[in-house]
Amino acid sequence: MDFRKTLPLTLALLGAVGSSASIGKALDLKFAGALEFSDQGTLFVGDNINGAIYAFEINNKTAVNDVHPIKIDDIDVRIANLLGVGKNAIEINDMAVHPVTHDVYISVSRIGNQIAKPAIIKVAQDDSIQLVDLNKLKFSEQKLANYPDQTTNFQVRGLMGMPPTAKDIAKGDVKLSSLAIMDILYHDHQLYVSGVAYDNFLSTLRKMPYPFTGTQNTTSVEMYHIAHDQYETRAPIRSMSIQKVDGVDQMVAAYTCSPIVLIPLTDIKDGAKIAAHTIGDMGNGQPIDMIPYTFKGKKMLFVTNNSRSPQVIPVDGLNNARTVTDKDFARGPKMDLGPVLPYGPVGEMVMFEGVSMHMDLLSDKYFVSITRDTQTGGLNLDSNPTFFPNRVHNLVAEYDFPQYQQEHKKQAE
Amino acid sequence: MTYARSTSMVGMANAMSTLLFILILSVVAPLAEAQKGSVSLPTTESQTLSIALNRLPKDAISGDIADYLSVFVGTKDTCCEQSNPIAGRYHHDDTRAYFTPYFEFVRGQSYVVETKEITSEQGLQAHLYEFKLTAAVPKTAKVTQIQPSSSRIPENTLRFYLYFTQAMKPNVAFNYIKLVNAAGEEDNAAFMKFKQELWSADRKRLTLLMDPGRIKRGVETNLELGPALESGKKYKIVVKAGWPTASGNQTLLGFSHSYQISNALRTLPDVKKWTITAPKRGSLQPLRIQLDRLFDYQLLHSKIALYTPDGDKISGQIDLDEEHQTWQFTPERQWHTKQVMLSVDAKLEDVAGNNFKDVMDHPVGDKIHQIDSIERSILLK
Repeated sequence: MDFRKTLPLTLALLGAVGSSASIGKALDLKFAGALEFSDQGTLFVGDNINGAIYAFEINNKTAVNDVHPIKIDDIDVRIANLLGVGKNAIEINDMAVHPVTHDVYISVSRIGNQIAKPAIIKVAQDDSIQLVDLNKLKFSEQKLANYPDQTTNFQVRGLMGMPPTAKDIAKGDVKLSSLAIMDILYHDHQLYVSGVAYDNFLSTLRKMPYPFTGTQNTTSVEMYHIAHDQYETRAPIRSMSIQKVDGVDQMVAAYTCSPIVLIPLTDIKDGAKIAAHTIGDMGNGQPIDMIPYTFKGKKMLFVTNNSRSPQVIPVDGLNNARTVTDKDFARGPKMDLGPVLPYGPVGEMVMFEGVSMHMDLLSDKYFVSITRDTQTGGLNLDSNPTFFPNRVHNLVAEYDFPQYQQEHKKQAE
Repeated sequence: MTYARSTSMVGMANAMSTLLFILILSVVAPLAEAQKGSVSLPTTESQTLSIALNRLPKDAISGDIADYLSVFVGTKDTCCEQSNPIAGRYHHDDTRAYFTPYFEFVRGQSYVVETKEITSEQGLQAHLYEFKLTAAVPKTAKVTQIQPSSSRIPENTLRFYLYFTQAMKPNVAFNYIKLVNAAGEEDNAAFMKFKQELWSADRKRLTLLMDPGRIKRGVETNLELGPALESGKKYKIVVKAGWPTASGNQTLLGFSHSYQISNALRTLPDVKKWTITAPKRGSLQPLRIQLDRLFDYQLLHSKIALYTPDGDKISGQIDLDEEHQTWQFTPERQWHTKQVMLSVDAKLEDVAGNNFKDVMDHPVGDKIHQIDSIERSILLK
């Protein structure tokens, strides 16, 4: 007999464990992961090792009117060198743009002498790359309740029944807590944190006020996964955005492989176990960032993915969306090469040259992206126009021929 | 494209190269404090780097010392265009200016110091100094433990584990590992020799099997050579010095462990014969089990588990006493249920390879017990 549990514990039992806010003590940041800014410029940093959110005051009021589109090649090499190591000794974890100064902040793990240390890098509007001295900033800290242990790792599996590869096996050394803080969102003096909780690995949405008061809500989220054809309670929300849908504030959230769900903010209550409303699926893949922006006067969500081109979802298309369940589909997994996906009001997949690993909105005209270059394999910090988020340096089209340009010059004359 | 910090450095260096002679010095930091001309280079990760103030123009310390002293990742051949200097802090006293990197220097990484120093003509010269902290490599490798670590083992012991401080060179194990009897004679046929040695993934643990042919009664090698270990006698497992590590940078120090041999174990293990000492509820006291025999060391760490009545696996630390007669479990969090469930995987083997399903050396036709695990409920105090 196997005693291992198959049903998750309700978080209600666990109440308010280990929640605290602290101000004035020495900074003990162990990992700089997910990043988010408040509207005023407070930088929130998720620390998956300490199980806490740190808030740093970077209240530079010097607003920039004409935002300069940053373009820096080999950003990983430059950051690594600034930290005194080679490019293989850093990992870039997240990126966020300061809402007032439009400086780009990047969270990094720096590995040296066999120890990983956190660092926050600022790429300023003058293209300078600087290390942020966090010890000089005023900070506060909120420990997360029901935080997972640091000993449970992922289970090893191969692709669809095939034997696991060496890299699949290495996943068995990754801690579940690495997914405990996936995305942080600031909205109306509240901080929303998606991730996994406790040792039962429950998909969780946390909500806490900022400035921190020590109180927080921990809500366990279940959802119907169209592509996997199952109800999922463990895999966490990868990226999210709060939008007015059907007249109320709702969380629009993206999961791996890649359903889109809606969660009314009023559902997020401490100890609650809620069912998110699955309204669509973008197709197989793993979402990275969800960035709200405006295109031709309409609110849009730009959703990047590590396995497919970005998806642009019009927010008004989410109104009156139908919530689907297992009753709406035939049994069995849904793959890209099938009649079902993409499903629902998930907008369009758009062209994006290269692969964006982290993205945010730099200004009303540009996205800023850490992009893997398809030609060199290098990492570029790029600014991509929101109306057509591309670069043309790796593309050769009719327009690049001198004959074409001469002909059009003549025609213009 | 411009890079504020590095642009000023690079621009300045280019301009000066047309006016000034650039002197390049190469320094490989020796183990002792490295003082090279005006610059003092670090020899440990946490040391600062400094330059004599009299080598800098007078206005250097009132402005940005970084314009005259910067450290880059890389070698002097690649320094320092298109590169960002390392982030760090500057300060000075009466005689020297110091640079402390924000993150400590990394062993094995090459660094270049770029300075702008005054010449006798009061002009500025650029200098490059290269340094690299040597990696901290231990000079020798050691055997940290052998399992079983007990002083007595049964005659038909099947499996031993040797643990090393470093990854060891494979395929030469039996040039170094010997079973030696009380008279000092080596038995070269004691261990099973496979084409592929049984190493852990990090190559720091070697599993050593006694040749089962020597153990199983009536098998040819057993009849010819007799058992490798005989009850009542003393033996040593010796690992000879000189075994190279996988990197080839170290050799192993010698190791040996003596065993007194007891009678063969040819019965099934029995949980009913275990004595269980329950801890107090609400405490962090260990739960102790007095075992009925010597079990396999590795399997004792993975095949016995404790669960709450709800079926949650309890996390904690497993410890064994020196003779491996007691299995002890200290929970990570306080015991919070009235009782806990002990689950013993039927594949848990004793040192002779007997498990709860069958004995290793059983007559043909013996019944195999069809069980997967044995469960016991333990009431806490």
